[in-house]
Amino acid sequence: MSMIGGLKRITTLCILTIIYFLGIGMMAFFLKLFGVKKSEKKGWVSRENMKIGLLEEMF
Amino acid sequence: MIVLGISCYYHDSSVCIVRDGKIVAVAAEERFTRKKHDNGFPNNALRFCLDSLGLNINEVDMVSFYEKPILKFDRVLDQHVRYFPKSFKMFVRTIPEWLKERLGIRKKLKKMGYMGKIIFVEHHLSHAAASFYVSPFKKADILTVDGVGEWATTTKGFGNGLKIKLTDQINFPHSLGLFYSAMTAYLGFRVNNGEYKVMGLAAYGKAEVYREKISKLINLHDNGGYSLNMKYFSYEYKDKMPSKKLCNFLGGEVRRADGRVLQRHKNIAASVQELLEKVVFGMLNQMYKERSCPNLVLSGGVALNSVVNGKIINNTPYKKLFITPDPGDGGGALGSALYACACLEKKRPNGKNLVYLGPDFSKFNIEGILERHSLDISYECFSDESELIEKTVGFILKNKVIGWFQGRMEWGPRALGNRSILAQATSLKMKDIVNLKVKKRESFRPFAPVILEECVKDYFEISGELSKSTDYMLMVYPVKEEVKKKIPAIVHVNGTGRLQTIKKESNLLYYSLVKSYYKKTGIPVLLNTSFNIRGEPIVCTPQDAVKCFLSTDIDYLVIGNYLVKKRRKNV
Repeated sequence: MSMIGGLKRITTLCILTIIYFLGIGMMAFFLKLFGVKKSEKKGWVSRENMKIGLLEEMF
Repeated sequence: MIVLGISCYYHDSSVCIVRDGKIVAVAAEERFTRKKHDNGFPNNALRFCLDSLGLNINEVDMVSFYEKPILKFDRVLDQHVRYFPKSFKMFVRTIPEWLKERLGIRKKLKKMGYMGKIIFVEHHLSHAAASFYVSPFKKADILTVDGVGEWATTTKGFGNGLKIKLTDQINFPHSLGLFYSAMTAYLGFRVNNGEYKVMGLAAYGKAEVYREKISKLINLHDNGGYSLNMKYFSYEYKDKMPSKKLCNFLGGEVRRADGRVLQRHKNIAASVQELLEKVVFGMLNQMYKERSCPNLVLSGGVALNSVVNGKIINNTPYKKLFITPDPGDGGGALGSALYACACLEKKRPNGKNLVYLGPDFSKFNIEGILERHSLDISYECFSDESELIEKTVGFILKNKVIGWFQGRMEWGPRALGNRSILAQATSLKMKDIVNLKVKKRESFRPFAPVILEECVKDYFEISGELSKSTDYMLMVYPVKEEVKKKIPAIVHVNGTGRLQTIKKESNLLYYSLVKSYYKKTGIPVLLNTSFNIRGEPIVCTPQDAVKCFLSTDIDYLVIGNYLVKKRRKNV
């Protein structure tokens, strides 16, 4: 019983890890496509010259 | 047109209603839930705002939200991707919250039966609007500085009539607000709550001891901008804000909340405060060169730093300064609503009453509560207000501590005379008495004064025109040397005071009380602290007031026209 329980726990952990990795991967892809194209410049950034991502345009 | 403004899900959730360009109701959720800085959806504040005007949510023409949740989510996702896999813990904690609640504002309002239009105003634009539209200026430069909104942490621009134009911004993770919060955490205080304690503690320290080290945490740019040295901060991927490197760099671990406050903590606080001032003045001095406009409007959580605010006029070329009563996130609700009004109605609000906009209670309500507690208290009703004032002043003169509960609750983080604890400021002992009887807070924290506006320049060193923001207890000024001995209970260790000015037009009863005390003593100052116990929000209802009165050693409670005292218990 405890072995089955342990196996179940490991399987859940594996699934969660896969979901996490997949999630991060999808997030990276999503952000690349639609995310705000913010300037990497430190300090003051002019708002005039900020590139706008699709997300920003939509909302 | 009725616009309902909402801010929530970060800290200090609030709601406001602006009707035909007039601000008619504003309240923070924490006052109803009794949970300090409550960040949940403000159901109670929303109900109060609608009920106080007899409105149904569908009679609202527009709902404005104080930030753009999707863009903020974009930043949160970016943080997780950038700091993968270090951000794992934060990912597990934040993402479900975002998916379940934070992205669902539309759904939430629909569920409540609201079918109208919803607009999402950018976070820093909400901050800018909250200060600029209620300021006395037609034209002004605007600086907003806080922790973080969507991406921006600091913005600058200008306002002209109905138009606000933010021209530049500094992006996350470089944030002056988060820098101060991280140092607050390092010094053992709660983030988004203990920042003002750091400000108070700073006066006890020597800035020069840690000046060099602390100055390495922020790089100052020639154009007035700044960036943080991110190796010392871990808030991008962890809940713990200062990094291990910061602890090593400053030569000590994060102070435990229950640990002793040592001289080194005081010295660090002093250097942090000094650096914050240097960065803000640097930004303002550069900003002034762009337009040479003499008026400045400040907003965002950092504008709650009343020590910086009080020094701006002396350290920059600006001649006039205005800050809204709640420049933090709570004020975002108002800012977003005012922005919507300015865009759609082409109206700037009537800014006469910006403070007393919360719930008030009828004589009937108050008497009901007092009657319910009649085993513990006795009370007397005064039909004549002047008689009530005379009696109260009499008690104050006998060094009694008074709970003062009147009219509509104040909006913003300060008690401004409708939910206040009042006492004499003439004896240094009074500070300890108020602390011992009621507040039970850290001994290094100062108490604030309320002063008649007409006498303010006799007691405080204020150069130039008096800012309207002194009405909201947002400025710290040096107390004049010759009067320090008259009001020692409100003079901080460095000889300053965070004053609230009061004039007849803003709160007649409160003004009359201070005036009456002045006539009897020649001192136009009283000690004013918020009506609450340590760790709780300021009282909202008569029930809260009586509960606080009974659980502390406040001597008398003046609630509406009633003077309340405790019954003696036979032991």
